Amino acid sequence: MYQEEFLPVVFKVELRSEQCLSVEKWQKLINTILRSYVDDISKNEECLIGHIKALAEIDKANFIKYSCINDLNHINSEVHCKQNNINKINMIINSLVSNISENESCQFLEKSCLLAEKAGDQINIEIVKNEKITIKKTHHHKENEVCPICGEHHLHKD
Amino acid sequence: MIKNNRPEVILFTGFLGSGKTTMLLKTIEMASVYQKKCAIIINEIGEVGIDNRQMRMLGYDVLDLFGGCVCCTMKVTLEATINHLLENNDDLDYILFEPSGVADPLALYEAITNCGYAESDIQNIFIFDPTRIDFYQKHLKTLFWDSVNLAKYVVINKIDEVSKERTEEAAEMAASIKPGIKSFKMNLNNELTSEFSQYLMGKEVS
Ligand SMILES: Nc1nc2c(ncn2[C@@H]2O[C@H](COP(=O)(O)OP(=O)(O)OP(=O)(O)O)[C@@H](O)[C@H]2O)c(=O)[nH]1
Ligand SMILES: [Mg+2]
Repeated sequence: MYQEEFLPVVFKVELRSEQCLSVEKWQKLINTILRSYVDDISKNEECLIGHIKALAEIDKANFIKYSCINDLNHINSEVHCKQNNINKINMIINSLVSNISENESCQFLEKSCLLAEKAGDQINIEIVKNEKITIKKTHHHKENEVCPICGEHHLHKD
Repeated sequence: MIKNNRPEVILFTGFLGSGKTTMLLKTIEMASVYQKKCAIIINEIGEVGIDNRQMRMLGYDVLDLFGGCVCCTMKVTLEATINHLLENNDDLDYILFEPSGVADPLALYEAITNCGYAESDIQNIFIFDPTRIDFYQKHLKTLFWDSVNLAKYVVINKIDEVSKERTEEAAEMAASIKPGIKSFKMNLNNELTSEFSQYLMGKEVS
C-alpha cells in the first residue's frame, strides 16, 4: 500500500565550481538547493513527504548526507569529510513523496538548481538525466526469462 | 533462544526517515565495542540506495536486497540472503537488517523463520520518531499499528527535538497498541544508552 504511495524518484546531480570551495560552503549551497526543492513540493498540500534524502559524495570515503521529512523541519545534514577545499561533488537524491509525478519533481529540482547557479558562486549544476532511474527500471531479468531470485517466470507487472 | 549458535537477527523497523540507519550505525559501533561481528542487510526502495552507499563509504560491507524490485517478492531474496550468510560465516554474532521504511514488517518474518529462526528470536526494534506522531496517526494507521504490534521494543528517538510530553505521548501510543511494550528514549546523535546496550547485547547469553 505505502510502497505505491511513496514511489522513489532518484536523481543524480553533478555540481562543479570554478574555484575550490570549502566543504561548509558546499554544505550550505546544497542545503539551499534542497530547501527550495522541498518548499516547492510542499506548496501542494496533497504531497506528503515520506523522506527526501541525499548523499553528496566528495570522494570514495567523504560525503555529506542530507535528510528531510517535512517542510517545517530543517534539513538535517551530516558532514563526514576530512577534506576541505573541493570543486566537484556528485550527489544522489532519493525523493519519496506521495502524489507527485517524477516529471514534476524533476522540474522543481531543476528550478532550485538554476536558482543556486544564479546566486553567483560560479557553480555549474547538472542533473544527469539518462541516469535518472525509477522503480520501473529496477528489474534484473527480462520479461521472458526466469527470475534469478525466485526461479519462476513472472511478468514485471506481477 | 537461538539454536546452533545462529547469529541473532536484529530488525530495525520504522517509517521512512524515522532513524533506522542512524540506529543501525550506532548498533554496529556498539557491537564492535563488545567485539561482536555483524552482517548488514539493507533494503531500500529506489534503484540507487543512499544508505548502502553511505555504509560502503564508511567502510562497511553491505548486502543489498534488490532494491525496489517490484517483480520479485522481497521474501525470497531475504531468505536467500540470510541463508547465504549462515552458510558462509561461522563466526557471525548478529545480522542487522534495515528493511525499507514502507515495508510491512510482517512480510519479512516468514523469510526469517524459513531460515530456522523462531519468531520470538527476532529482535525487532521499532524506531518511533516522535516528531511525526501526527503524521503517523493521520496517514499510517495500519502500517504503524502492525509495526508496533510486531516489535519487541520501541526506541523513541529524536528526544532532543521534542518536548518531554511529546516523548511520553509516543510511549503511551506504543503501549496502547501493545500493552507492556518497553520503550527506550534516546537521542541517536549521542551514544546508545547503556540500559539499551545491555538489553540488546546481553540478550544472546540467555
Ligand atoms: N536530532 C536527532 N536526529 C536524529 C535522531 N535519530 C535520527 N536522526 C536524524 O534523522 C534523519 C533520518 O535518519 P535515518 O537514519 O536516515 O532514517 P531512516 O529510517 O534510515 O530513513 P529511510 O531509510 O529513508 O527510511 C537523519 O538526518 C538522522 O541524523 C535523533 O535521535 N535526534
Ligand atoms: Mg535508512
